[in-house]
Amino acid sequence: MADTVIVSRESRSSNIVDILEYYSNAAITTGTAKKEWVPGFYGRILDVIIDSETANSGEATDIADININGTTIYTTQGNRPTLPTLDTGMWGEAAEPEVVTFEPDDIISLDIDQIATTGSARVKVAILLGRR
Amino acid sequence: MPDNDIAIADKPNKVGWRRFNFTDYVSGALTTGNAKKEWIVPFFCKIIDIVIDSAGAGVGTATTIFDINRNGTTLFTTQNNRPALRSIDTGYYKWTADGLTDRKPPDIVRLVPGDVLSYDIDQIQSTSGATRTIVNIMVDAQ
Repeated sequence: MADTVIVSRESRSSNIVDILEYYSNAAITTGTAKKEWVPGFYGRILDVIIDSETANSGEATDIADININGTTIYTTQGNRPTLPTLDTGMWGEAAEPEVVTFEPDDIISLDIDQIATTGSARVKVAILLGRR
Repeated sequence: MPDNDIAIADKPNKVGWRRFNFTDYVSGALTTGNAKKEWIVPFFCKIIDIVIDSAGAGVGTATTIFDINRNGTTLFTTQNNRPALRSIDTGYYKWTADGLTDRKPPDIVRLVPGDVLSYDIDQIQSTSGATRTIVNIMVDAQ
């Protein structure tokens, strides 16, 4: 039952152009395109930060995915952001996403691919965008 | 029924600092509750203003009062300075619990990477809450 501290790879804002945000106060449920954004500029994803204040329960982990035009940025799906059962705090990534560049008219979207029996709650997502 | 004008306590950006907004919008009637929205703070920053505005009036008596928290602890150590809107008003929330006196800034304004910013609605009007509410927490980021 770990509570992982949030860590940002971009603690200085100089490289950040925009922050794409999502928030669910209630327990998350699975689904595609929970939120979608149009970035409006040529850029790259600098960091994906997901944090849950309330733990999930039951079997399995919570797993999220980020897509550009419907295709995952985590080509290695095992690297998707994951929150183990009964944990809280920042979701872990085994490694960085492979696809990080986007164009102005791309669509960036958030999926919740898997939850425990009951998903975690008070979930906030911050996708940090920078210029190429 | 005064309609308070929005007044932003703007300050010129210091060199090397940039403005970001943590925002929310509630179309329907406000209800009380904690952590109505939460944001991850990814960088060092300083809150330079908190703008809350309700275009639609609620019903009943009592002042509408918000609170803003850093990692679950209020920024308004002096609780009487929380953003507030009198029951007879619409528009901009003054930063005082009487919803009347000119605002006072929160006691805590500096944020660090990994902080979680959130807002609570501590009190609403007695029958139903105000509507069409904008929340905008402005920060200057380092």
